[in-house]
Amino acid sequence: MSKVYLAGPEVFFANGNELIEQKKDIARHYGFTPVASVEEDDFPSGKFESGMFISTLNERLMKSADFIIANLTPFRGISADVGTVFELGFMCALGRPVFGYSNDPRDYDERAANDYYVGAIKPVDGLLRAPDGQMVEDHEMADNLMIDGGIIARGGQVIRPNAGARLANDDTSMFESCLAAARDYFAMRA
Amino acid sequence: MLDATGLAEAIAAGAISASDALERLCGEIAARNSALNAIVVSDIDRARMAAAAADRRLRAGERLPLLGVPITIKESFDVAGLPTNWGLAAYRDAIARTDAVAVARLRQAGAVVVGKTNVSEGLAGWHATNPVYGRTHHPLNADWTPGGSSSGAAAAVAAGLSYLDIGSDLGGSIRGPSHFCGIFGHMATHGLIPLRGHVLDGRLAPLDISSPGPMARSARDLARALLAMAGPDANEAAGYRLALRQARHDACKDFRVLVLDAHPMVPTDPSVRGAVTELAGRLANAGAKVERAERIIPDIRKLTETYIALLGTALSIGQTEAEAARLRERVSDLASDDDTIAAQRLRAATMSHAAWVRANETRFELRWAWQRVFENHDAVICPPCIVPALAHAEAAGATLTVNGQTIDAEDNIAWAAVASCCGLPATTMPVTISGEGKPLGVQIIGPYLEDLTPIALARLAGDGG
Repeated sequence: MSKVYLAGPEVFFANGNELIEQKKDIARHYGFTPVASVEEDDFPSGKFESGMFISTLNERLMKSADFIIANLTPFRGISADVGTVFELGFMCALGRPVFGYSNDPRDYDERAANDYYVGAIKPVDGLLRAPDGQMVEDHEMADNLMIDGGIIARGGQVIRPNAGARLANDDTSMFESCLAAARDYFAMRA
Repeated sequence: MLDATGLAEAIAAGAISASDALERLCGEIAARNSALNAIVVSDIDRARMAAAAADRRLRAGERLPLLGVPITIKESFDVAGLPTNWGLAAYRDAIARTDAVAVARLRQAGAVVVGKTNVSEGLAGWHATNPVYGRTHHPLNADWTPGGSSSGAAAAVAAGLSYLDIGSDLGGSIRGPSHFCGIFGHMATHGLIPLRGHVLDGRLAPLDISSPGPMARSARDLARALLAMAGPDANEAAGYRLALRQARHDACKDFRVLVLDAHPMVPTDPSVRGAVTELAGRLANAGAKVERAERIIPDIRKLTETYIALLGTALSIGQTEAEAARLRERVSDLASDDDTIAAQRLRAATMSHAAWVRANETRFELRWAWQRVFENHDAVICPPCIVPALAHAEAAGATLTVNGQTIDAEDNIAWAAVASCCGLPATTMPVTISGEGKPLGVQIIGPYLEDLTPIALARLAGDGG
């Protein structure tokens, strides 16, 4: 049974533990063995020491996993949680299959234009430019091209709603579609 | 020749175009199909357009599981613009207006439909012949039958005239021909693949027991095609979503397998039983836990008798009052203690609704009993059929001699009953070849709605563990 590393910002959520347990249950239903960060509570007491402990633990968990499903829903900004993106890259470099999902239907440039620059970007010489002169990338991708590109190039998928409003943080439908995509990936390539 | 997965990967990688793959296949069809008579309706003009469209989509970067892969479709499934007559003369000119759900989903997955494949008349029997399209021959020997009712599908895939086909099975119509022709076939869990578009007269109620599924050259192709076709029909998708689980294990050594090589109601040819024994040995050598199935699985006789009752009523579809009266007369001529399969089938054809309700209740008791069996076991391996590929003359006979015992030819359905009584998924895989050069397959029955588990076992066992 394939072991899946569940990456995402849930650990920061008020109902994070509950949501992580719920995601693990759904992953088990699809026949996967889920692992996620912070399953132990025996942390060192120092702030820095506990940070190192969790980082080391997560790297070990990732090395033990067959693939990753990353929650790429924008977190504290217009892009995915940076720790999650680090983990995604880590698994890419290990050569493991990678899957991502976002509860936000929008392309990256839409969020940059509307949520960050609040409508003040315009095309200049074929590129989108913000008032600060910075270019805004537009590749019809969910996030930075290295994220979508890295996933898709490895045969994974970036799953998000077709349209409409951003789904609530505790909506697991995109996560479940990711599990189905991973199931199909393994069944077809075996 | 590649399997469908290999071809899909080669096309996606740009090693061959969909159009070139189609033309190569057309060359094979031109060379061999007239002798086999496997593909009986050609759709080559539309296939060429679809392959060209697939090449354009590939160039635009689109990737789909079967993009550009040429396939054929069992005649009994509707393909828009082509006839669907089940080999029945009365329906000779019935042209389908829309694709069956299973066909539409394979097209959505990128497959290119090349034509339709032959069936036994009315989808009954293993004789591979009908008055509309004639007889289909076995690719290894023109004197043999490829089996039925998915006759042309098995022959076309085995002969390399198609990468994939869809069969349908309620009495062994996928399992028998797959076994006869030495290919892989999978009868899906009942209801997993919508049946709409696999009926005559545009009927909408799904036929009881009947279940479609892919027929292909590899187990991985079965998984790929099944995943493309499975899932609720449009009217159920509002509330139901498919959450099919992945295979339980990814190594033979982790499988817990039950072995069943004899049926209490019919004899089975020693060569066919031998294939089951051989697979059991192969699995045990690979480290699987292998046990005898008797006393662990539900009673085979009860499964078979319940199946016969349900099958008989299912097949009464379209029965007229005059036909029912004639059948009742024949039933009244039966000796009260006649419990042959033929007698049971005759009684089932006119049984009362109350009797059907009792049989249906037994089916659900048995399904729950299977549920408990599969808590501690992953698969049952057993024969797909009582005999290896038959000669045409044997297949046309009303009786058959198996292991020195003469039986009614239709008693063959007994091996279909084990899985079909409760709608369980069953994969058929080629295991070995008999002394006469006949392919020998084994049926792998899996847990309800866990179709990827028996398919994975077929793949792993074929890979040598």
